[in-house]
Amino acid sequence: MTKFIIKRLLMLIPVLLGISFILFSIMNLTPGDAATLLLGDSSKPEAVEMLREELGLNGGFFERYFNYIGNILLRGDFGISYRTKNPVFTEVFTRFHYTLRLAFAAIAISSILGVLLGILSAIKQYTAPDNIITAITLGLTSMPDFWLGLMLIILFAVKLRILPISGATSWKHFILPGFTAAANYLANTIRMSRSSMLEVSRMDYIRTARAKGVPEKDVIFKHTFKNALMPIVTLVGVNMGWQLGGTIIIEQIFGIPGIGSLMIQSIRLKDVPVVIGCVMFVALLSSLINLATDIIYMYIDPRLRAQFAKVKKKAVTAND
Amino acid sequence: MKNEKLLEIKDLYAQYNTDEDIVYAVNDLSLSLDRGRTLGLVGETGAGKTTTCLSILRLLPERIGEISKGEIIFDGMDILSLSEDEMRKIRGKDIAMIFQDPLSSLNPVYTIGMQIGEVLKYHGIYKDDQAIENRVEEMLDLVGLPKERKNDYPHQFSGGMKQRVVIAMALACEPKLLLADEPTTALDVTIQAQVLKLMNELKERLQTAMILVTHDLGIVAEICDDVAVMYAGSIIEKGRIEDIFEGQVHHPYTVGLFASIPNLKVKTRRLSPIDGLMPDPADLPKGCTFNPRCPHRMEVCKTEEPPCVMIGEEHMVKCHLFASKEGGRP
Repeated sequence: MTKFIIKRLLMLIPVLLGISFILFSIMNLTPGDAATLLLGDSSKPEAVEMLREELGLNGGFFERYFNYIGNILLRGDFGISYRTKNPVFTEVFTRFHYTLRLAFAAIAISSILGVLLGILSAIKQYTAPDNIITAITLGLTSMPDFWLGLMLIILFAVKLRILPISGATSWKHFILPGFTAAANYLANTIRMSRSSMLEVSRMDYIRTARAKGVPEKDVIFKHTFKNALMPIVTLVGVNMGWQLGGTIIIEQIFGIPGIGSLMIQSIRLKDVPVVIGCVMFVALLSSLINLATDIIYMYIDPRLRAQFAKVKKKAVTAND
Repeated sequence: MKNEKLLEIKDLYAQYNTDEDIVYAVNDLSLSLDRGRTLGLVGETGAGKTTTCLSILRLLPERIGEISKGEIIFDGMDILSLSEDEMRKIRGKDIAMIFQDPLSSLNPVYTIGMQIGEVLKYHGIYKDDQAIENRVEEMLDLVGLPKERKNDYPHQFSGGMKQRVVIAMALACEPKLLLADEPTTALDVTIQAQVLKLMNELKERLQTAMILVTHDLGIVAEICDDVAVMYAGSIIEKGRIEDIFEGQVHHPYTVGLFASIPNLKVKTRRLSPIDGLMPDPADLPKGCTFNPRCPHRMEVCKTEEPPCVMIGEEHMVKCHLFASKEGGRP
């Protein structure tokens, strides 16, 4: 188990190096010059040249790339934002906690509500509650998030005046964006939980459980649910990865200064160190979430655990 | 052991209501079973054997399966009129079932010890956890598995061992009736013999009555006291094992069934199957359901349902051929 985790962590190194290289190339290939963009079109060529020198934009592609990587590896220095002159590390971290809070709200709403409604829908298959939940799911997937966000603002912030319109200063600010971001994930989670529960409920071992006299409540939450959990955990993991990557549109609508808006700003100004910093950070988080998902799998399913556990005990075999 | 009726099924009809049509799986089935005896339920695939067992437990698939008519009396109780909760208390405790496929009838994410212990826990026979643990170990011992393996998961066992776990689970509460639905079909022959021997021993030790569903007549000859032959959802012949295996008079289907067993003493080039196929249970033929395949078909077979004719004291055949001799239903 520990060996597996260490192996997976080591595999992150080439992944992150690859990402940084690809991003560096893309940013290099796109037209536009950071110094010109920062100083404006009407600035003097000498001033632009000076700034280029200062930001280290004059070297060759590989020279600049290896400098960048070298600084990270040797000093843990992710560079300095061209725009604010602050270290990239600080830039990312001052923004990230907003994204984290939004992600937490969205994932909590979508997973808890999604799993509960999904189970309900599966238990009551083809009856009124199931049909209502299916209709809600359809509605949630069909609404684009920017539209839903605006509608929620109109209803709760403008008409009812119970929640703030935008900003990120209190927990109340995260309710509307949390719901908006959760809408799609919620629909996915409901559908996934429902179909997974239904699939497992048709298994022979569920019939065995009933034949043993297990009460229906335990048949559902113990025997069925634990087996149905695998695809749900996968989906929640994927959702979380997406959500932490920063939901640019939702951050824009609700005026949340998260990592998504930081990335957009930096791309516009060709603030390469910040862009790469952001993406590498998000990539690192997504990989860690994937790893966590895999560890949870092993906790749920003993068959997967067996693949990684060392064969420590000689299996006691029956005279079979 | 007194010959007391444990289970009596009267005129049972069970059907599956699918989107396309209604499948009549069990039609007018009556049988009875005394305490401690073993009934072999034989017949082709699709004859309604499993449906009969599931009906006794009231575990037909939800929304689709339905017991439309009939009575099931178990130990003096009318099974079909019990509430769901009362029924749950009987399942696993008084009536236990061994399912056809041991490979898929254990929950993959729980240890076998937990799965055996669960039966005991829900039926409240053993009060504290230690007593349950002890009983689990005792059961594993009984079916010949080392008790150290109770904390292992189903995937760590072979097919035969899983079936032993399933048997241990079914017998943990010492049920009065055991429904064994083809308990050995998924196993290879050597393991089959072991499992059957085990079931036979346990049956004798615990005095459990058993309905053994199978299409293997060899197994029937080995363990059963009584035999019922099923065809298209109803019992067409039943009697003591001697009646069926040694009696002179049989239903044409039973004759065909026995004729299709290859005989090792006679050199034949071909097997002799019964011509035709089992009728579609959604569209059963009128009159006798076997009439399209019957070599002795008469005009009356096509229109009228055959009566149950008693050939011997306990030997019943449902066929028009013998009706004239005995004068119909006794």
